[in-house]
Amino acid sequence: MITRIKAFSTLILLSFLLLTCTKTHQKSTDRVVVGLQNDLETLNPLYSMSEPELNISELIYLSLAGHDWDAELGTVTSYPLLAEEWKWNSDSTSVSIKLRDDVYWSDGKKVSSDDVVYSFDLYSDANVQSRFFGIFSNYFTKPDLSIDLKKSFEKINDLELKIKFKPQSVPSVFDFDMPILPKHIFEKNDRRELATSEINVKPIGCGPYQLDNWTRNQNIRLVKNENSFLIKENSVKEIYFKIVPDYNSLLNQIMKGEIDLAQNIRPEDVASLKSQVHLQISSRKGRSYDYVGLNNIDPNEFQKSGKLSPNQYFGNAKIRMAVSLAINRKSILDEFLLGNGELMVTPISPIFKSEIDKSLNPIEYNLTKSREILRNEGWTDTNGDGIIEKNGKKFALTLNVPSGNPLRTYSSTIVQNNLKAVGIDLQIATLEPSIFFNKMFKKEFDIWIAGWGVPIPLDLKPYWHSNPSIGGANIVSYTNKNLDKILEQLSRKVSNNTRTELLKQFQKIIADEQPVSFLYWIDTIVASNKKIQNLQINPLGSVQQCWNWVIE
Amino acid sequence: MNNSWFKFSKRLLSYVVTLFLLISIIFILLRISPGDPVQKFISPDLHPSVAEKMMHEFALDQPLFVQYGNFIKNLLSGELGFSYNFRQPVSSVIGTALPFTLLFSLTSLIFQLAISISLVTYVSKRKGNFLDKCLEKLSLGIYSVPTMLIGLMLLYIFSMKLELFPSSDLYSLDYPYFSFFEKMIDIIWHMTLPLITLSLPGTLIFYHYLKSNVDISYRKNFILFLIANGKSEKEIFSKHVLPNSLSTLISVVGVELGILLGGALITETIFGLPGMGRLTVNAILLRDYPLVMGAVLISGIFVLLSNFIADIIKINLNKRLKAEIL
Repeated sequence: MITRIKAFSTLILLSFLLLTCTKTHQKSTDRVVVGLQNDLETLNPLYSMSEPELNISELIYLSLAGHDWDAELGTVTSYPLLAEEWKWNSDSTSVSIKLRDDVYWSDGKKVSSDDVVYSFDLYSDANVQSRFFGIFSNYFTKPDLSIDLKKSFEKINDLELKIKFKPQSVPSVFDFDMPILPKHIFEKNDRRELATSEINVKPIGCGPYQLDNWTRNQNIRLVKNENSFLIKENSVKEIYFKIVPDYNSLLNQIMKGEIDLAQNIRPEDVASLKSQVHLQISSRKGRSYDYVGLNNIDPNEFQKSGKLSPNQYFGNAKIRMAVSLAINRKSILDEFLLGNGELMVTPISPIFKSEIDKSLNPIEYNLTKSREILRNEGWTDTNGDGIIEKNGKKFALTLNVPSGNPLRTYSSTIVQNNLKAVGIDLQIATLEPSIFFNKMFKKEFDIWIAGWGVPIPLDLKPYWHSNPSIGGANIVSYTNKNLDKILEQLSRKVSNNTRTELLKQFQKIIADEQPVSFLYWIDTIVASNKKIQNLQINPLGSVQQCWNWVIE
Repeated sequence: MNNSWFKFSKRLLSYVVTLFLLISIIFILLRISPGDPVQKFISPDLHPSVAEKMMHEFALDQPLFVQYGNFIKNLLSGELGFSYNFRQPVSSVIGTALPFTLLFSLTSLIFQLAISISLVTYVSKRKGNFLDKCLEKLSLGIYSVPTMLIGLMLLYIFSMKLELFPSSDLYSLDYPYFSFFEKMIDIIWHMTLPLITLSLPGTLIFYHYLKSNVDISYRKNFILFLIANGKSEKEIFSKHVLPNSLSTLISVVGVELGILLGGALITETIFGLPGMGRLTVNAILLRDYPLVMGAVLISGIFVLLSNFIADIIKINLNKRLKAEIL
């Protein structure tokens, strides 16, 4: 028995020695490993929706324009990428685009204006149902919302084309910054079957990186495209996306240096990561926020008849203000987020420096004021049970929270305790996310905690317009005709001064009426290895312009 | 012989009926449970018609009985459908996770059996010694420790502190550049901690079962008779005690193997391994109905198959059980 143990131990030792030898193969100086907690579904820009999918597919497929974040002005700037240059006509209703002459698909074919036109055709095709479907309102479109190619595009030659927009529309670079797709590859597939095509996992791109290997639920290996005009001699050779589903393992690996970049680090882990000499911690300032949803309409009536009748609790703006005043948001920000965020004033993020109204302040935590408003509105505790009533109806509700989000679970307890202090009784119901969001979108809740990410460029209409076909994300069914008018004016051609003035009016109305109780902007904490130079961490993301990364 | 075949066919039929009932119940439970597979297509960034179109594409706008009929029809023609999430045939998606799960589970089971039988053999000859006492006291205790805790402790000690083993993945980043032998070593190196995590509780429970059976066997009259007749201890143990003690263990092994083949979710998640457990749970959370059905079907087949194999082995060890089992 002892002899066997000895033999086994020797074998193990030998194995480790051999393994140590194999380490000589490792070329860590040529590689950056990015940690992801979930695998991707697709690398096809038609269907890429999550942030990692967008990041990776945009490294493989180039767009006509790229974007930078101007931190000082708090705005996006654009620069030519696949396009060599673009020129707007005098009234900005058309743009002439000249493509670069040195860009090739990874199968050797040159990128041409046919690819550009074809890409927009696919993106807007109802049969394809891409993530961009239905957003081409500035183009000439057909009744099925697809772009009218004859009216919208004019091919001048293989490298030049003109895009014509509808009169009175307000087009911008964001109208044509979608990734360009290879026509000769995509057209081989039936458009209705593109969602399940092999292109989703075996892309032919023209970007600075190409897919080398994708092992499902394990890793995605990109290698630099030596022919790309973006790639320099010292660009990182391999970008390796490693899927690590368990957060603790991810943390362990970034500490050990097995992973070079990881996002969504929990605030409580920042201190221990900062103590690692090889790591630097950065924050992506608020593009996402949490809020307490206060249904402005009666959910039961809406479920029964689809009618928008005011909610008996939160249909009144004063009651919503009382709720906001009673929530100690700062305590959550300080105790759970450890200061990695900012108290909210309105849904316009502080990153949009030129667009926020600095005269507005976050709602103060003031129980006295909250109680006073509730009392004035007829909500009093007549029977001494600690719960306020009005016309025999108790202010007692279920606060719905999605499971698996520690911050929202924590804040639900704080909200419950805070509102109890003003006589509002909340029972917390934690629901599995797919059930929670299904019910939330169906407007089944009275009160809940959820969050939104804000789009860049700023787009407020889907979130706050009262028309359900425009404001699909206005879950609380907040209705204010003045606000609707402001939002409509904002989507027309207006001068910068008018826009600033309109945005000020928007923020004032929202701050006064509290359609929801805004909680806080949440910073995305990013841990990265100091060896990565030229890493840009800004509201546009952390994995962007990777072709500029250099390993020290 | 004919009688045996009849009984065998009856058994096979009962398996088919069990599988049919299993997938039918899961199908109904999935569809009546709240949640929506097209939820992710409802977003301010997407046109509302995308979600509707997806409902139609996935045939979720059809009545439940039509969906069920289509599912059964496809299943009979060998089609498991398309995964909503992977946008690939379910069979291909399962095909990427199943080989790993098979290899991982079977290796773990072999380890569990080899170590537990070796320990029982060693301890039976040295009753009352330190190891015997330790294992007796600790086996059930350690078995009741959650796998997650075992995995995280092993990771902390052997990966973070001692840096002896990698913390996740099936192989190193440089795997494609390795020689065949290096690849083998690399996989063994990566699989050491996951295998210990997965095998430790099973090993101890197998040990516990086998040790109890061996102790009971030693108290039986025919063993006492053999001892009285001066048969060697080694012969008594290997020819009489062990075979008699194994039959109960084999039933437990059958169940354990079925569970293992269904996927070791916790171990797979902690160590980032691409197996059936992670695949199935993610499919449930995302309401990827076809993938859930495919995974349940495969797990069901494995549970039944491993039980069947366990029964066959039991019959081979003890012919008297044939009439009872078949």
